[in-house]
Amino acid sequence: MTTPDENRPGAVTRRKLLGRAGVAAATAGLGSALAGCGTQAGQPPQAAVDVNAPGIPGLPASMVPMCGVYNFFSRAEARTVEAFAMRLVPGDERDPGAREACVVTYIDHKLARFETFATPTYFHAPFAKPTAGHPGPQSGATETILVHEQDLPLYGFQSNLTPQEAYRKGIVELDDHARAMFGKPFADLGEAAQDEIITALEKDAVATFTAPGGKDFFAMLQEDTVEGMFADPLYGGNRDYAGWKLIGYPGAQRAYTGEELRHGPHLRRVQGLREMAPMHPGEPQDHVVLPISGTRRTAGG
Amino acid sequence: MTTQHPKVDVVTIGAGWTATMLAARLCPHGTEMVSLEQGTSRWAYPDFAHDHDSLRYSVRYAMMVDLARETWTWRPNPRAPALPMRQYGSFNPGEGLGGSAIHWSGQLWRYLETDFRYRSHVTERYGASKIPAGCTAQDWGITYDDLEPYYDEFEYDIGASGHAGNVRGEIIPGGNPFEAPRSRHYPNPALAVTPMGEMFATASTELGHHPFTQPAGILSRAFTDPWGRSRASCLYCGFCTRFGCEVDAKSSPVNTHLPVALETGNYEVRTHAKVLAIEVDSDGTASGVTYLDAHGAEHFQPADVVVVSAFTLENNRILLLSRGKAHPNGIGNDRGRVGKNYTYQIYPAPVVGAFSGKKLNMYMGNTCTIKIIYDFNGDTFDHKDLDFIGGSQLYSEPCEREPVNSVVGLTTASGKSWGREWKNEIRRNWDSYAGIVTEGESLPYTDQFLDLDPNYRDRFGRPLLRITFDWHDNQRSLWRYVAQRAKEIMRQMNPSRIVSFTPELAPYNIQDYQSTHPTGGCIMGTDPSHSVTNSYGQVWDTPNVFVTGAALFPQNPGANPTGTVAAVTYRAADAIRDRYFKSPGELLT
Repeated sequence: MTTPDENRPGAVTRRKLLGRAGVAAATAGLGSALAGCGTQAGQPPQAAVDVNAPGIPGLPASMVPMCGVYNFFSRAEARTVEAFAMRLVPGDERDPGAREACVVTYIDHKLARFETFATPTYFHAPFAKPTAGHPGPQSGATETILVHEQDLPLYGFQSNLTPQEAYRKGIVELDDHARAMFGKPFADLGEAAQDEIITALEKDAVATFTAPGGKDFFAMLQEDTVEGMFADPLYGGNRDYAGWKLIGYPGAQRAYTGEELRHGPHLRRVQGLREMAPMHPGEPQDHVVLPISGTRRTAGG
Repeated sequence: MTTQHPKVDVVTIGAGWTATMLAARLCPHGTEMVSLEQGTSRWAYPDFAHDHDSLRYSVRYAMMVDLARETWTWRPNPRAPALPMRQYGSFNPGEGLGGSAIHWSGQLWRYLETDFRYRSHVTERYGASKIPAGCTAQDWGITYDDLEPYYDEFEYDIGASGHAGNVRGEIIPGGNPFEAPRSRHYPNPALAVTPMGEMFATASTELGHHPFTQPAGILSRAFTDPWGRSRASCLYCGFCTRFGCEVDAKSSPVNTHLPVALETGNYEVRTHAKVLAIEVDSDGTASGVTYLDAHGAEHFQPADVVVVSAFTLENNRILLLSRGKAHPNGIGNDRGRVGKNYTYQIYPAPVVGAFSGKKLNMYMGNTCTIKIIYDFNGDTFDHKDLDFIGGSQLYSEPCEREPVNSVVGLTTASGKSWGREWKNEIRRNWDSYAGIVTEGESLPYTDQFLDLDPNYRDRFGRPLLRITFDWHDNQRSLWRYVAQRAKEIMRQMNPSRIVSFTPELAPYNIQDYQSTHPTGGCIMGTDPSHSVTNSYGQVWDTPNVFVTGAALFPQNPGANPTGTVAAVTYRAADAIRDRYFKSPGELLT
């Protein structure tokens, strides 16, 4: 991706700025890199000044998954999801968790980008309907198929809700339940009360959760939080490699030697797709296809 | 309006590995061949150059069949309702040039001699009553000796890496002493192994077992193949299964047989070509295949021979969907055998251990940088006093671990997979835990089969394939036995904590990934009333149709299918080339 500006000799471009900032960030570690990641509950998002964010050089800022700028969630919904994610992966500035890694930004961009599903999904009726009995094969079913409720988990994902619908409805169910239990919406509860609710959801022990079910809502939040914490930062989460640094994963490396495989890695800087050395330097097709924008970009540059 | 193409000698459904193997063995001799591939064209460069993206490939299945268009339905038994696999779980069939052999793991095996004579062997050694009721296990109709030259040739064509255990009867230390005799050593040495693999090997040896390094279709050093092409060795990058290899170190159709076939000028692959059905003439033989191109326009490709060479499940479905006057229940199904003897494989890890303070480098390498034992596989151990037949591999957990799909697998001592305590657990131990994994036999039963689903359809309105499958007592007993052996080895490895132990095999579910080894349904045999094809994959009731791949397996041994898929395909290719073309339409004997 090249903009006209970049072709002008001596032009100071966003790409060049980011290149320098990238080196600084690598040596400085955390700290100011998180400055633009300010999605403190109830506060407006920071302006687009985070030069260390894994933005996409040469693209308008609107293409960058800017931490705390949401395309799908309302501010209130984002706050609720972040409160939930923060209980799954708690953290603070010294030890980043879901908030510091911009997990909700990741989830928001996933939901905004995929009208239905991010993963291949067969989404045609008839959909499963749990029942207490043992129904037969039901040839000719068109709308619903009855399935013994105990067997249903064996069949995997069978929801008739898209992720967008599941979040919208699930957040309402979550707040309704929180109010019924503790008199406040989920995000306003203390950690202990939030943990109590999440534990009950995980065990599928909240009867008022129907669509999505409590366990399904928990599983969706956990899966998306893990993706936002541990997927490549290009997708908007895992800010400053918070997830990978937490577990000691060096990220997308080009190669290890057999010696490293047996005895451990030589010192490596954590890196993502953007920093992978090019396979065929200078070749026109030696690019990373950026996941958010679909833009092609030469790696290692 | 259907576009009519000029007739060719052979048309294949799919351009995966078996199709390109056939092309590489037939086209240099003048055979004109076309392969119809539903997916896109793709090569190491530029398509795999920057694919180290766990989210895109492992979580969002970029290389797999798009389930939005079609999937498979499943039910545990014939009395239960079937539902579609709406999102990926149990298995991951690939789509695109090279098929599933682009994203495969490279685990490369020859089956044991007894695997090919399953029913005869069990009956001879233990008596017929040892075979469970309702079990339809049978002999393949070929022996290991029939396939040995083809195993050998395939291993040298792709530059297999491994340490031989039995060369012409001589047991070689460090290899698999239970393997059938091979005529030569592997062309390349075994891959490097991670600390977990070495710990597993040490513990197994102490217990009297015989560990060896996983043989691999992945180059352990630079290699020049018999066609004069050179490829680089494995980079141990940690992105292998579900990924394409950016340096072509992982052998696949696009770096072995496909370029060889294309160079002859007699081979053509049409991508984005979705085959709808095999067409049949009034005499009952196949006349060619109908397919749709990327724009939805219909084409007819006439051919003297039609090869059904897609993934196992689609091969079954294509035969069942190709119904007409001559074959009202589908090609190969005149005696109702298509879909029978569907089998799978036992996969999960019965025991997982943590080794606090020890880095296992699990995120490096590939699925083959491991150690494995065959002491409890096949009939390498005496079953006289056991309540099951068959066996399982046991091996150290495959490497190439990716954070996004592994962190939740490490739970705390109290079983939690979220919260501060869990965060500290993955901080300390994400690279310090690993399991011992099974890969166990699956036997065929009369209530375990494939047919067309009555409720769910694909984007063209055609029925989806329905899988009816669950574990039976024999497999539960087998699991109970090998789980204990795995636990013994894990204990010997002295973990700081046993993270999990699963003594009983849970009911089959289609949600968890287990292996991409569904087999059977179009099985080979010697008797048309108990099989769909002969040992060349030639369909009994439609002799100018051939089936390739693991759909031919009468039951599934405890090992990955690719090596045997290749050997069977090589043998069929030679028979088609040397004998079938001399008397077309006749059954090969």
